Amino acid sequence: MFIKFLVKKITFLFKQNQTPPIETQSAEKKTKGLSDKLKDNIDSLKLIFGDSGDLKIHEILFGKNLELSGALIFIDGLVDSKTITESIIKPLILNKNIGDGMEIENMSMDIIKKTILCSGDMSEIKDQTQMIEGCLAGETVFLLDGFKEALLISTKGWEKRNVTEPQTELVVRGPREGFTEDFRTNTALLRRRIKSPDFKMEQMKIGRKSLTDVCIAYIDKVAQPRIIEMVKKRLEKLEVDSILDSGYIEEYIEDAPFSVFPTVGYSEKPDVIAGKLLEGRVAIIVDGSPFVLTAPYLFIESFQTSEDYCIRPLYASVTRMLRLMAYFISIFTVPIYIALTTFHQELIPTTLLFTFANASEGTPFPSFIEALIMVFSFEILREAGLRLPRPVGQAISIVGALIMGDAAVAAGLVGAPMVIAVAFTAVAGFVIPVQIDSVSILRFILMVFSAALGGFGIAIGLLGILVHLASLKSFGVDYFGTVIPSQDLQDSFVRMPLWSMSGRPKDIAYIDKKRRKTFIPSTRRSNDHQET
Amino acid sequence: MPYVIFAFLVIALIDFLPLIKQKKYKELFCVGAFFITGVVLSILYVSGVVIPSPMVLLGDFLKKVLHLSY
Amino acid sequence: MQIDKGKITAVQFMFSVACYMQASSLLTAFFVGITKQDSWIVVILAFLVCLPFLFIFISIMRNFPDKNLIQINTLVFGPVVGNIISAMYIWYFLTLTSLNLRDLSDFVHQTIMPKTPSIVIMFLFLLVCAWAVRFGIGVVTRYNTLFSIIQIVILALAVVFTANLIDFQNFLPMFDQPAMEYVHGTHVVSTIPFGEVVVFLMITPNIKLPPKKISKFFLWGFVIGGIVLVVVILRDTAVLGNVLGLFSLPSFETQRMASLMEALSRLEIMFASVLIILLFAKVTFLYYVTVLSLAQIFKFETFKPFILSIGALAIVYAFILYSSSMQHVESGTNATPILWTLFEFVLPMLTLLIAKMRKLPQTEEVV
Repeated sequence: MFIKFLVKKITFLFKQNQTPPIETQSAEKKTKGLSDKLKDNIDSLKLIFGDSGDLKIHEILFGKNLELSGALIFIDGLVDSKTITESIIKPLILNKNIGDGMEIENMSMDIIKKTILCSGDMSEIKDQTQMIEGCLAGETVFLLDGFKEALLISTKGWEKRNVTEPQTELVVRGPREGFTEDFRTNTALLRRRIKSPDFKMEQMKIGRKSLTDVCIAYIDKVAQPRIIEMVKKRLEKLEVDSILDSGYIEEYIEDAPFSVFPTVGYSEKPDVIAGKLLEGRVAIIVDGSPFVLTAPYLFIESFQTSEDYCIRPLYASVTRMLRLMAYFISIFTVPIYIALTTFHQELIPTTLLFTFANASEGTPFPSFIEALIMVFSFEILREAGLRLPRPVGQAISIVGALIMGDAAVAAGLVGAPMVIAVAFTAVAGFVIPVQIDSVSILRFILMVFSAALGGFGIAIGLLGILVHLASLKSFGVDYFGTVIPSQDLQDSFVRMPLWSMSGRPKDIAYIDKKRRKTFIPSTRRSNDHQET
Repeated sequence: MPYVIFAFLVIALIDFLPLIKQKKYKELFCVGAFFITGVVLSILYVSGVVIPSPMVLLGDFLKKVLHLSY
Repeated sequence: MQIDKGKITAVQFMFSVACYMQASSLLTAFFVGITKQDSWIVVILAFLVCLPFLFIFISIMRNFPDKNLIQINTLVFGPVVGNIISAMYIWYFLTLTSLNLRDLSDFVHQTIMPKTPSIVIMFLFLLVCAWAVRFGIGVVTRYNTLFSIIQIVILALAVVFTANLIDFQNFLPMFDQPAMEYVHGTHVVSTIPFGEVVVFLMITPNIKLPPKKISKFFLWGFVIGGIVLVVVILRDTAVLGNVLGLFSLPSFETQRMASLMEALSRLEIMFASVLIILLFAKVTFLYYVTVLSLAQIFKFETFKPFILSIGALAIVYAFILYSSSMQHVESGTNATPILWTLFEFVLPMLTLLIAKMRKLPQTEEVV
């Protein structure tokens, strides 16, 4: 029984290399045309929506002799009722001359659209699915008795969040606008920053039940067509129930689902996304999520923040190297500490050795168990801090930090050096919020290796991680290409001055590869004005 | 000894299953030849049999037969 | 027909050659036992001796730009003899892999973890190497630039830290030994660290540059590796003097004697970490070349099925090869140089001569 299960699992693992059978397209939705009787249309609509309290059907009679009867259908809460009253109902009802000067037979939706209604965004529809989709998107449906077509009038107006500073990416210097959950606001924020006509946005709806608007944005001659094709194909292949957040899309389209490193990036700030678009990347905007995705995403991008480009290059380079060091400290401190105290005590300087020996005198557990306890309690603390409401959160962090750390040492559970090591590790881990999952998991793996084999174990673990990084590709571009010397080093470990970064990243940009001509700014600018 | 056998079993599983599925018998034969060599040598070594080393043999050959040495 | 379609840039290639040679700079026991304090002379002589052969390698690479060594052998010598020679080369690559693996395992076993059985060390190490080889040439050589630069930086640091121990009297007496020793030493050095770059002929089709320009990069990589080796020997001789020949790891002893203030006194950790990463680069590359040649000789589409079996064979072979490190050093000084001369000097020279005589390649002459 168990052997059968094992065999099945192993053959499944090997079958994974074959392409999965393409899911058969769901049966073509039967497009039901609208009938020309108003009552039939309204009845079928009521049948589909059931007794929904927010579906409003407003029947009106208009025309010179009140011979035209129509109906307005909309969903309360999604529409701007002022627009409906002012632009649709008023012109229809107050205009007593409809039909004057022409026969009733010549009346059509086209004439109503072009001469009577006062809205800028209208379209004619002929089937029921479009009518339902339009209703659910916040548009008003205008049905007229005796006509097979209906009008879809855009009247979207719902509650949305204001454009505020994003909580996850705070800056000291630089723009503070952040994306919101509204799709149109987000696309507008990007359009305002890139006013070139080459900036294209292709829209699609994903999710059977949620029909979420998703849009692929790129700059035409700068992004590689191969990458755009890859993103489009992966999105089109999705057959899912719903997309509630851009994180869902990230999981569905990423290159390496089982890796600890993210291969699709995200950001909440329009200037960051605009910068990445100009480098040749593709952005994915999802309705309902303030996080916009970017593809491809490289390792070095986790260390680049938006503020780097708004401050001067020397300090930006120093800060960037600091971030890289913090990342490595966060991963390696605890494993190195475990290896040193368990296997290689001779490597510790003598005075420090006495302190360590003193500290571990009273503690019952070996270094590895101590480290596990501390790292685990730190993770719990961090998670608790996220969930608690703000006033209580402060108290918990003080309680956790002081009491758990201090009291644990006083009680003799863990040694003081271990608490320091873990605290330093934890704080360093927050420097790169994007890579938090990779930091925690890699740190744990390296802890296990170092507890088993000491320094050699760390070396093996590190080499394994490096090999994995080298093999990752994000949408066809090498993930860890920074170690190969090339022009792309200009924005990796250091941030070269803007006037010297004259080319876009080589792996990503396509035709238009030059951003600006390199020029070296003169150092004697203030002398230019002395002659006058 | 049991570790050696287990390790080689795992190697056989990982290596041979895809080849059998794709029906590449020529590759299977070649990889199998090297695999069998490895298995035989490992079992002999673990059992304590002294296997003559090619380098040492060649060194002796050069020294004694061809007198080509320092 | 190219099995591995990955491409590496010319700068990566240059640093790969340098990194490969730098890995041998840490294990200098083979020749320092022969010429003791004059080893640096021997290294420089060997460098000069190897340069013409390097040009032979470059010339082979230029003449057959999209063929690796196995394909060249079949083309030049004909199918039967070519396959026999290729089989000999495969044995050579496999032996090199096992020897380097054995070096690493011996080092780790003796200095860091005496109680762990060697098989565990070899197995884990080769597992990571096998994983890297699985992804092709791009991953195998990806980090060589970084490793090469790290080794150069640590070498500079080590020279600085041992500066107080340097005594130029340690180089005397110079040129005091019988001439045969110098010839012997030159032979050893030219075959073991320097001549082994013949393995780079296996990745000619993977370099992203026209063959005319390869020579500059190959030469520079060789020069960097050579300079590093000379500096290492100079430093070791200056610090240790005559007794250099007694140690199995002279660089290790040098760094053990160094100390920076009283706090950081165990600097051989630098040596150990550099050794591990450089030998990782070297073993991975040799492993890759072995597996690639096997797949090439049997004309398979991919070398992936071979990786694990050859890995197991390499580990067993590493155990069989020498029963003790003394035997290793002894064979390294006497038998190995003569054997390697065949593969590194004689065969490539023959290949080039016969290619020129048969006017191969039949396409237009590459100037």
